[in-house]
Amino acid sequence: MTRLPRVAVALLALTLPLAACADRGEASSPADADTVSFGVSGPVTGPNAEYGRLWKQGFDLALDKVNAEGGIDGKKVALKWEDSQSDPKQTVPIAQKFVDDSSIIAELGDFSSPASMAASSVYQDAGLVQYGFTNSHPDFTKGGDHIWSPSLTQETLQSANAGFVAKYAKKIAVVYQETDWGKSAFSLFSAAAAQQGLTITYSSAFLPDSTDFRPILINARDSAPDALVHLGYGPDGALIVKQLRDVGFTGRFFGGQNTPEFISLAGPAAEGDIVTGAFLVDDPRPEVQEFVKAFRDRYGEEPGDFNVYAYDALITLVTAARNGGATREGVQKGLLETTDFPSIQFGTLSFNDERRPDNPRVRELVLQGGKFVLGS
Amino acid sequence: MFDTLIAGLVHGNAYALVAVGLSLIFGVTHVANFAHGSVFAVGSMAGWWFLAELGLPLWAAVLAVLAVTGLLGLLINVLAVRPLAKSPPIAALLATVAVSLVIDNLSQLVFGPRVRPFPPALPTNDLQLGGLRIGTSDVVMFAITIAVMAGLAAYLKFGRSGRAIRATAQDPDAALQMGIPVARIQHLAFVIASALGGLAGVFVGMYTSNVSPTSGTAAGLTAFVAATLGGLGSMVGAVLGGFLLGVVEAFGISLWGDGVRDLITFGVLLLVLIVRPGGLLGKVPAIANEPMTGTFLSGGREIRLRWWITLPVLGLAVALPQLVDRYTITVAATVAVYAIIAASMTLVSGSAGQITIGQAGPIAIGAYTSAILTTITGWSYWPALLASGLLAAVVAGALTGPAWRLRGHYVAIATLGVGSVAVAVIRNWESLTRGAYGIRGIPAPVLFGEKLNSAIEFYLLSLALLVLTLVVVTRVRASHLGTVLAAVGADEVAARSSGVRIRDYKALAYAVSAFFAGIGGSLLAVQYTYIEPSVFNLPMSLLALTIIVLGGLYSPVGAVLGALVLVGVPELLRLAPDVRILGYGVVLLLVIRFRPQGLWVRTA
Amino acid sequence: MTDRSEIVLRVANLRRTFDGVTAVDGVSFDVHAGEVVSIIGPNGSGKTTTLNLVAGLLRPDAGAIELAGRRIEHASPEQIADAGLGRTFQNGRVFGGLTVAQNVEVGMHPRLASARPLRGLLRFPVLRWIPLLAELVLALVPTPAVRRERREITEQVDAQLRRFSDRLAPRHDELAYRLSYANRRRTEIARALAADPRLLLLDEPTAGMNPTETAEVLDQLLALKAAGQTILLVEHKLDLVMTLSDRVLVMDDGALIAQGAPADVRTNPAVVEAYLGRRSERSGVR
Repeated sequence: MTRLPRVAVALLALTLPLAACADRGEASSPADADTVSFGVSGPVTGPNAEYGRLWKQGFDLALDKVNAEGGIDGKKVALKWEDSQSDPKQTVPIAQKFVDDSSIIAELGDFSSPASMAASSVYQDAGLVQYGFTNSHPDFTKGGDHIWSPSLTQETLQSANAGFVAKYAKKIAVVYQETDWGKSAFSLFSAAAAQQGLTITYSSAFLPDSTDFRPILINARDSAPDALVHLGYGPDGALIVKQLRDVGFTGRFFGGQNTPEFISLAGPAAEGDIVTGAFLVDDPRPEVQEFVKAFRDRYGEEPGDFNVYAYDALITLVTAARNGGATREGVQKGLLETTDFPSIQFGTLSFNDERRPDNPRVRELVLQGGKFVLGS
Repeated sequence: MFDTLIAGLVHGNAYALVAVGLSLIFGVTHVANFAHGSVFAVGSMAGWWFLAELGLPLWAAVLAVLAVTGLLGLLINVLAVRPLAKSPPIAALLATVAVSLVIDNLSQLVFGPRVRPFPPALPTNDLQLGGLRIGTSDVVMFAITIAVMAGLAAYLKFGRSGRAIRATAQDPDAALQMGIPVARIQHLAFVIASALGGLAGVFVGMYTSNVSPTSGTAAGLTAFVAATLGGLGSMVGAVLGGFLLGVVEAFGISLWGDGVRDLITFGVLLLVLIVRPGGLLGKVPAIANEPMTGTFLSGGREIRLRWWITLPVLGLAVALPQLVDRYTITVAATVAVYAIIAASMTLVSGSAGQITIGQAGPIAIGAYTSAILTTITGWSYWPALLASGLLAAVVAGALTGPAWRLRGHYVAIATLGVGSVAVAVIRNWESLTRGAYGIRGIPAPVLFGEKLNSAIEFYLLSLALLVLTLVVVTRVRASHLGTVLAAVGADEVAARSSGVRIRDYKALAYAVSAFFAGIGGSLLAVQYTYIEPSVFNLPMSLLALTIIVLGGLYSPVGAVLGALVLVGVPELLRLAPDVRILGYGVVLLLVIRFRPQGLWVRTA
Repeated sequence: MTDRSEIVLRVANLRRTFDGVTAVDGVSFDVHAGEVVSIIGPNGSGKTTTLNLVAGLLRPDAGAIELAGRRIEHASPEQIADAGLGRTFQNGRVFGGLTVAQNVEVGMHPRLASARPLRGLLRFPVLRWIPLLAELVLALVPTPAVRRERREITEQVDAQLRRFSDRLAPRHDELAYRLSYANRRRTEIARALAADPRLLLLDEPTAGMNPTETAEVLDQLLALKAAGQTILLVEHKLDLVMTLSDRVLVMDDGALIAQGAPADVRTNPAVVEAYLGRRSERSGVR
């Protein structure tokens, strides 16, 4: 006799979350015709949450700017954030949610390539632009004609990188992250390095969550290179450059990341470090100085690459919508047709057939006195 | 050579210091404390805050960290572990997993998600040893490790309450009857171990110099491997295991590069467990003590579903796409995939009683089999789906084979190792799997000339396979085979004496669950269209396990319910993005705390 | 009738030490078909260790064990059970999460043929997957033969439970952990008998039972004996031992110090001194 109520409760438990989801699904499509939205799928929590925080700083600054300018065709611009933890299990439902939300005219993100690429087919099939502004995976934009990225392909980046390295060294050791990003960086870098006449004396991959690199750095040191090249991110770059000095290597270090985080983590060990990049705090261009000032005023911190990526990404999509129309088709049209997007990183930006930056400008940045400055 | 050895010892020292605490808690409470890594990370962050932000001197900062993490340990025991003393050990393990989620996310809210430079409160590179610079900090850390190990080992051997601790570990009930204050002893163990974890956080923070609120997971896991290598519960073993792991890793990495780190770490673990099933210094008793009160199983009985309930529920599931939006359907499809993975796990972890924490391994094998067969060799999806299940069962089954002669927590740890090794092999076997590049453009299945690429079609496909899984699992459970599996889980010795070849049946149950994990992996590959190795991580394995524990280990229906809650709740909590995962951890903790026997189980 | 001259169990020079302490020291004895043999001795004299060595739960350091002519001292408990040994445990081990009927069904495992085809291959490393997978497939899609066997199992289980008629039969579908202690012991005996064993090992089958329950078990064991069941028994309750046994073996400090008919053993001075005398000193006469 007690079975029925229990089962009824269980059934209720079974359907309740679904019903709740359904309700919210409808609620999230506002009838407000005066606002256009961009969906952001990114890591707010989890191990990559720091990047989500940096994005938000850049986005919010850009949002204020475009809304102060009158938004898009008089409509206010808004962002709809969804936390994905950069986990493909979560980016796919988020994509479905964005696709079904008619107020969203384009999507920004996700942070990591696996998380972004898992969702690409949903965006592509629905005709919603996915703007993966940190996705440098060589295959990312091959997901379809609505999949765009302003991230430099490794080909561009690494041939420039090899060129800079060749100015200072003949023999080099290379360590690279064991990720899609790091591996394609390494294969393109070594090809470019060969063309520049560089000899690679030692190379090893490293896992992104490793904390102790001394075993490979000892090998690198013992292969007697002039310099060590690191292809990875900021935190691991900082660890590597510090441990590199601990194993007694005094040659030049190439790598790390153009972020305030890297500079503060690495400290004096990284002095003289050279990275390929586009953004400089001291860049005299007025739009850069305007951005840097606004950023410092608002957050009391120095801006870094990931703030700039986010800032530029939103400006680019808003510009595309202004040019092509505040609709999903309009954003796509704007991206296809505009040839002079304003950009903190590049000056101006246009896209090539692979929906990547066309002829981007890459600059040699040197770390001097705790600050990246333009190299010679 | 010499430099590599030194580098390995210095790094191993960091492992050892974290491992000692883990081993102490395991020795006293028989709980594998997955929150220990988080306590360690809190120690790092608090140390950073006291030193860098408040400018305290080192001694004061260390004292403050000891107080903070000691208190944290007490809280963990009082709120999460101790209330589950009478529940199956797996409940306490999962409670610590939930606690670790809560701590990591709270710490991220308090300290911010950023990686911070840990201030060198002691010189970190002032000494020269061979070609290597090490610091006074490393020497002090080494001294602390040895002192802590010797102190704890002596205390456990000779001290009055130390002996009580050991008695408590061996038999809490008997200890209680002999007037030993078991609860207080366990509190003490948690406080000491967690304070040690915090201390390790400070010194390892100084050693690695980068600290962040989320650094605990990896540190905790490697320390766990170190403690297992040495023999869980042994202080000297934990230190030995830490140093051994550090040195073996250093030489392995020196030879093959850092990309194989996981393969070395978990490969060493598996090898040691094969040769020494109780770890290097652990003792496996010749014969398990006969339970004094006879075999006794608390818990409850699975709630049975009647057909007149089953049919409408199934009807509702099929009609769901008509009732809700596509976002919900996408979530529902993910729920179905995880339900497939989890429902089949009830055979091995529920019936046969073998807790597995490595299901990401067979899932990855299944996903990669489908991905490779459909993109490279151009198979159609359906034979690839079948091959995914079969290959996952064969490969994961073969790798796991030696684990079935292990006992208790060692089985769980070995499966964790197998999962990690499988994924590490996939990552390193680039010519076949494209390694870290991942495989892109995995095509949608085609049925009768129709491409199944919409959210609804994928949901219905997953649902159909879920129903198939449930039918298979239910039929197995209802057969003589199912009875035999349950006997293995209930009492291995009695089962063997009834002529049941327990290792064979554990392996068979695991193979079935690995088959369906492979099927689930294949579905994930199709849903994502792009896969790469890091998708198949420890959280994925833990999620699968958590689902069945939540549902009630034995119950395939409970597994469906568990998948609904554990995949659904994070989506529901999207209303509050900042505290979403924090809230998830709290919900998980509450469920385990108040229904440790699972949701779909009637209490006896 | 069973052939009394046939030796079911032969134990020769059995030795086993634990961390330097010799628990069983050169024990030799035979059990003939249809015979009930009891092992008695003070606590820690090596009785249960001897049983565990015979059942394969422990490996002997030296010596030989033969079950129905087959050497089993290196065999696993599973193989020994397959060879015809059934046993119970000192404190009673039932499968708590299984029903009474399922407990007994597990006992029938060694006898199944249709549901477990090709069992001969189970001995070989990789080939053993053939019978295992066949068993899985037959569990999912039972053939008529498997169904028939399934019905036979049900009947056999019922028959075993009827042995303990009013005690177990009504509790057919009850979970074993909810049973009373005495009923758990009965379930265990029913499970051990389900495979129709050549030799039944009973480790203190009436421990913890009150006199009424003990008498009841004694009746059932006498009935088994009358039916020709060979039994090796470890037991403290001397009245039961004397009533039931054909022969009694006395152990002390791991060695066999006396054996013979119950009446002879009872009056053997060495036994009285070593066993009864010491026991009363230590823990009082029971």
